[in-house]
Amino acid sequence: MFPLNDTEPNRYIRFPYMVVTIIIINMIVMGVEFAYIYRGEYAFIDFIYRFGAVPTAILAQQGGGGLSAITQMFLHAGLVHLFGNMLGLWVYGRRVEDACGPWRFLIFYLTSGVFAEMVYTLARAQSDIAGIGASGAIYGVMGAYLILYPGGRIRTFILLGVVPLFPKIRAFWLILYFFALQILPAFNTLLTQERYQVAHWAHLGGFIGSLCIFFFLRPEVFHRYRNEMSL
Amino acid sequence: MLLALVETEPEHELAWLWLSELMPDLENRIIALENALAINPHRQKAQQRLAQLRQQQEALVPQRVVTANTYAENGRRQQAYALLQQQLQKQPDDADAWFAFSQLVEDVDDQIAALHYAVMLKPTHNQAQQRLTQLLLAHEDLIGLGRAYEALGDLDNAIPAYQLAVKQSTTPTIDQTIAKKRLEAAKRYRKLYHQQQRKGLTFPELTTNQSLATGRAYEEKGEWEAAIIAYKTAVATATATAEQKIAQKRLHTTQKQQQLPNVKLTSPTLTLVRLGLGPFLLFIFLVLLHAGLNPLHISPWLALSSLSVLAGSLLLVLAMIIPHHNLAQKLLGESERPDFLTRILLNVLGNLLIALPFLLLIFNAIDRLSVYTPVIPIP
Repeated sequence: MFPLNDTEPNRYIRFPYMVVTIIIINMIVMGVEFAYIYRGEYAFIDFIYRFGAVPTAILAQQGGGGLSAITQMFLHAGLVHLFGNMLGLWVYGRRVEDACGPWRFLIFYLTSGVFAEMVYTLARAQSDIAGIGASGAIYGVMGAYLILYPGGRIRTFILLGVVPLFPKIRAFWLILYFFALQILPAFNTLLTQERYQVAHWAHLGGFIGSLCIFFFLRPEVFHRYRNEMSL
Repeated sequence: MLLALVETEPEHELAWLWLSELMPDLENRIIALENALAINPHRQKAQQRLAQLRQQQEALVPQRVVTANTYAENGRRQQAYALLQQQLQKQPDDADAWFAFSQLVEDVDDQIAALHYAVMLKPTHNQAQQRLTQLLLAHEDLIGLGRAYEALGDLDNAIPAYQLAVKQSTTPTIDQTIAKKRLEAAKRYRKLYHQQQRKGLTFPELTTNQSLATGRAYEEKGEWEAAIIAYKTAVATATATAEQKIAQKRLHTTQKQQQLPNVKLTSPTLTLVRLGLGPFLLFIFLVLLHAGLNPLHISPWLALSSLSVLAGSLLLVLAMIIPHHNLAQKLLGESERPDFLTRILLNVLGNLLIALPFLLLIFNAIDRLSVYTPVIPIP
C-alpha cells in the first residue's frame, strides 16, 4: 500500500517550496553517499557512523550530538529507503507546509525529526547501530496532517493480488494504519531487544512530536482550527 | 444662497437656523442646527428642535453611525473610526455601521471585507452593493463579485462572474476549484429557481433533492435558520439512505455554523507566545541531545543561548503582529503591524539572535566530531 498524492488543493501557497527543497537536499546527500560507496565500503560506513545518530555515542556525549540528530535525517540506506520517505514527505508535507508557511514548516520538520531521535535514543539506549533516515520527521508530518486534515483524501496505490487499485482513502484511516503498524514491533524491540532494520520508536516519536505543530501554524490557520472551521 | 452665505459667514446663526429647516435630508438638518447652537447655545427652541430631529434619526439608524458619518464628513476621521468601532463591538450586525466603516478604512481588502459584511447583513443595502461591485471589479476579485451577486439572489450576474474567474485561473489552485464549485452551484440554483417558478412550488412541497438545493442556497446567503428548515425537510422526506445522510450532515454543519457568532478570537498575545516558542523548542531538543539527554550536562553557554533563541523568535513574531499590550503598543505603535523600517530591524535582529546560538551549537558539534572515532559494530 503506497500513498501517492493528496487530492485536496492548497489554500495559501501554490507550490510547496520547502518540501521540494528538502527532497532535493536528500537526493544530493544520497549522491554524496554514493561517492563514499565508490571510495570503498569502510569509507561509507565511517561516513554513516560519523553523521548518523548512534544512541550509545549520543548518551556518552561523543560525536555530533545534537547536530547528528539533524544530519541523520538527510541520510538514507539506499534508493528504496529514500524514495519511500520522500514520497511520504511529498504526499503529507504539501498541505502541512501550506498551513505553516515554508520556514515554519522547515523548523517543524526538524523539530519533529529531532524529537523522534530523542525518543529513539531513549528507547534504544544500548544500541550501537547508527540510526539514519527522514522517517521520524516524516511521521511527524503525517501526525500533523492527521491533526489538521483528518478528512483529507489520499490517492493510494493498492496491489490486490495482481490487480492494481487507486482508491482515495481518508487520511484518518490511512495514517492510523501506518501508526498501528509501528506499535507491535516497537514494544517487541523494547521487551526482547530484538533488532529490526526499521526504527519503529523513531516513528512513534515523530508521531508524538507532531503535537508541536500548533507552535508553527499560520495565525489564520490556528484561528480556524480553534473554531472548528474548515482548513 | 443660504449655503453660499454660511460658507462666507460661518458664524451667521440665522442662516444655519434657516438651513436646518430647508435642507432635504435629516443628517444635514441636524448639522445645521448643531452649528447654530454652537454659535448661540441658549436658544431653547433650537435645542428642542434638535432633540426632536435626533429622535427621528434614532428611529432610522443608530446615532453613533450618523455621528461618525458627520465626523468623517468634517474630516475628523479618527473620532469617526473610534465611534464606529464602539458601535460594531456593541452591534456587530449593524449593516449601516459596516458600510460607514468601509468608507473610513484605507486598505482595499478591509473595505471589501466591511462591504461584504454590510451586504450579507442587509442584502437590500443598495449603496453597499454598488460600492462592493465597483471595488471587486477594480480589484479583479471575480469570485468575490460572484458571491456578492449570489448573496443578492442575482444569479444571472453571478454565473458570468464565476465563468470569468474559472477562465482567468490557468493553474489548478484553490481559487479555480472554488470558482468551479460556485459556478456549478449557481447554475443549479438558477435551474431550481426557474423550476420552482414554473411549477409554482412552495417550500414544504419540495422533494428531497430540491430541499437540499434550497438549503444550500440559503446556506450560501448566510440565512442559517431557513437553511436548517430546508435541511430538516430533506431529512424528513428522504427515502434513500444516502440522501438522508447528506441532509443530516448538512443540517449538522449548518447548525454549527449558526453558532459561529460565538467564535473564539485568537489574541495577538497568544499568537506571539505560540509562534515564539517554535524555534526555541527545536533548540532545546538539540541542546538536550547534545548533553546526552541529561539536563545537568548542558553547558552554561548553550543554556544561556537558548534564551537568545527565544528572544529572537519573539522579535520575529513582533515584526508580524503587535500584541494588545501597553508596552508593545508604546514601542511599536497601535496599528496591527509595525511600520516597514521597524519590521526590517526586528527581522534582522531576530534572525541574528536565532542564528548565533545555532552556530555555537554547530561549532561545538564539529569540534566534538573532529576528535570522534566511530565504533563500528562487527556484524
